[in-house]
Amino acid sequence: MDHQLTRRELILGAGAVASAGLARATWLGAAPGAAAATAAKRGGRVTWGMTSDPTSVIPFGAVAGSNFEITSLVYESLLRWDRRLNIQPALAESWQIPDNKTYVFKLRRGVKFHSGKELDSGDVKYSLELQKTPPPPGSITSFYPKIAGVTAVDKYTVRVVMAEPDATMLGYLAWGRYSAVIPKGLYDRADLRTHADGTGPFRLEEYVPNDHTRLTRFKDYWRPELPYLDEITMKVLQDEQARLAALRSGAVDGAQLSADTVAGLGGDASLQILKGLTAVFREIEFTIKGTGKPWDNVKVRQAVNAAINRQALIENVYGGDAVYSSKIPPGYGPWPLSQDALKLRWERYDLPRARALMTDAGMAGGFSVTLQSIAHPVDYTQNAEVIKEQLKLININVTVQPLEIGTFARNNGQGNFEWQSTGRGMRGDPSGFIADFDPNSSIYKAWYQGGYDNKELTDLYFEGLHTTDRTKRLQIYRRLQEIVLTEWPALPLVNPMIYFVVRRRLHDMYVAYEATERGLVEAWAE
Amino acid sequence: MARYALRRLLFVVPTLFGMSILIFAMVRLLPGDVVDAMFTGEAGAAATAKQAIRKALGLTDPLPVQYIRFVGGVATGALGQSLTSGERVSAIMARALPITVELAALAAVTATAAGVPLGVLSAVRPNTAVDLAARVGGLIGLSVPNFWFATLALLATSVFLHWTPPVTWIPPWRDLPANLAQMAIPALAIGVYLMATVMRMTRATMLEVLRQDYIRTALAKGAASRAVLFRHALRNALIPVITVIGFQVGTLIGGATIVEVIFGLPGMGYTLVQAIFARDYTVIEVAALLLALVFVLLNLAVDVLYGLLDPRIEQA
Repeated sequence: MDHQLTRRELILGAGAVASAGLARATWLGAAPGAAAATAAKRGGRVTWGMTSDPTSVIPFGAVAGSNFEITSLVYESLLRWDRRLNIQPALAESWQIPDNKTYVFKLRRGVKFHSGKELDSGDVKYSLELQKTPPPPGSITSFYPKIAGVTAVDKYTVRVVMAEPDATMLGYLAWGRYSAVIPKGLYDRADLRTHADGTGPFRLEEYVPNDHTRLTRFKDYWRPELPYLDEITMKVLQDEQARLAALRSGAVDGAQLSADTVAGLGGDASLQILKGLTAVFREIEFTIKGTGKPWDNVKVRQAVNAAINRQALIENVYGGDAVYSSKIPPGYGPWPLSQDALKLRWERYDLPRARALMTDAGMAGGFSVTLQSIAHPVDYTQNAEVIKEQLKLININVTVQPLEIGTFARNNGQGNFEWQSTGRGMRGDPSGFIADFDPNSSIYKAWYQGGYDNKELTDLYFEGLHTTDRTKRLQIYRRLQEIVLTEWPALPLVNPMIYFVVRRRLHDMYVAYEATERGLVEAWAE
Repeated sequence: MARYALRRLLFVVPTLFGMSILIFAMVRLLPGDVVDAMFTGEAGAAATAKQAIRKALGLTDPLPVQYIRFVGGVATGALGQSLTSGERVSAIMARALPITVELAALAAVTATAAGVPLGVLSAVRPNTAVDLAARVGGLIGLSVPNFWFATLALLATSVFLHWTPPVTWIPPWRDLPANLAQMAIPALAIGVYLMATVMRMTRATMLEVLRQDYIRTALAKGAASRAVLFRHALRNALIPVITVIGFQVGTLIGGATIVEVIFGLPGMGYTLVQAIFARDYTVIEVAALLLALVFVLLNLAVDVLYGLLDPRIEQA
């Protein structure tokens, strides 16, 4: 089970995301009606219905999120997150930050890879260095911290020196998505697209692309009480009705289902519905490039915000199961602005104010705009349609244009749109949610260059990256969000729940915030 | 006969050549490339990193160079690698093709085994209850979309029988009964349309043939009615039916796509659809060309079979 932060770990600088997240316990993998009182039992096989294929099981640089659904069970990093995104020791049992450019990690002794080799500092050095430029089909990630050099001080000590102070390091490691530790030289010995050798709780037995992945319990796992399950089959079942049918028949023990399908489950006593937030909050993006568009004017963007009734979106599109979202999404530890602040101040629905702002901007007569939306899942377009109706009231005539994801993504990357209804994703560090405003980022260049800039925003963004003191960082990210929610260069909407539906025989499963099935590490089956 | 078959076989080459140009062009006309699809605008990749991947994947080469690489690869058997997973395309095809072929074969066999006797029965007993049932059933079979049938069958078995086919594919060479249990509903789902078509076609041609003079002559000469029915009538009536089956099996392979997705069977259609969403050009091109090849070869087989059944066709 999850370790609580010890005093020592706190002193050592652990806990980039601390226990303030406790207040949000109900959003983070809370399982209504979960039978916590029953003693966990070892053994059993479980089949889980995945919504898409992992594409490959490479440890580094995989772009597909579904890859991490597998690798998060097989590989580990130096640190890990608990259910509430508190940073916990993993392969490193402790760490120190002697100066703001140096991290020293003490490795846990006796940790075994699935191949039987013992973990040492050489493996960590090899892995951290290779993560920078992952071998194909992995690709370079912008999340890689600014590591200048990695030294294996002794068998169990690793020193990482940064090119410049970079506070994203611990979150990058704890997230694990791009920071797995693998045995030194593994890429030269094995085809890691279909094979794996990690230290994680499950070992990879087979990966059959487009079909299934079979994992078995790693008996030498360093947390000896885990995992409980003997075997997991991760089966790709893209069709939602197929996942539902397989759940009902017992062919799979758990799967993610949409809100609509969950609403139709009725009183099926054999199934349990788990819900939780992820970082995939919904957002409206604008291109503000000084092209003379009405929304180049901050007042128009403020009017749009005031005219959007987020509660109506939550009720009409998400059946009530969503919350307001700041630029850092709710559920992401202590970093986002509170729900009360969002509802009562920043994202308050206020039509008269919206109209007044439009008049002030000289736009009382309104304008026309095309809002591109992701065609599937449907909620992106549903959001767009509801917003279209809401903005009619301030004379903005919105044309909704649903697009297939490939086209949408291309337009998104190139800034080839007026407005887009999209969703964002997980980041290892809160700075990742603000990174669109880094003037060097490709997103900034595509969406904002020459049209939108705010010196305080840019300066604070870099200050946040360079500050390792957590209290100071909290203040910086609060202020950053306030700037975004004042000037609205992007318009966060809401953050919907996702649903895992499991058969009653599977206990203690939860929805992980980063949308993986890592709950299976602690789950057990009857 | 051999010359006829050979001549038809030679036509396959230019057909496939034309198809390769069409497939290549259509795939490249799709907006967004594999790198866009990889990142979906969300991983925060720098434009330079994206461009580096495009270069590594050979996507920055001029289109004619890429086309020649594709056709050259097909000609030499070096089909390349998936742009997303890096897996060899030949391995992907070797895994996917047997599933779809089995699905289509089972559907065709079931459809023929049920459709032909029903059509014959319906024709020899016109306007009876059997005929009426077969005709109404045929109309329903023609009208019901296969994805609807598949989804309904899946939900019905799961709700009422608490059973669905096993979710991971079981190869027939490992466990045939389990494989057949797994494939039964999907095969039926894609076979229903063909079954209805075959039934109606058999009925119509049998009715026509049974009115022919030579049938009356055979009966007048005292031939047993069973012999007349099967040796004289059915053999002639089957020629158009075979044509229909031949054409439809090609369609079945394409039409299996949605059923494969519903049942999570990683066949050709499923693989192709995944590749299209991911803009995995190498996989799309080879898979589409392979499906085209199967289609062309099936048509060829139908033509040859046609010639065997009716030797007059060869001279035409």
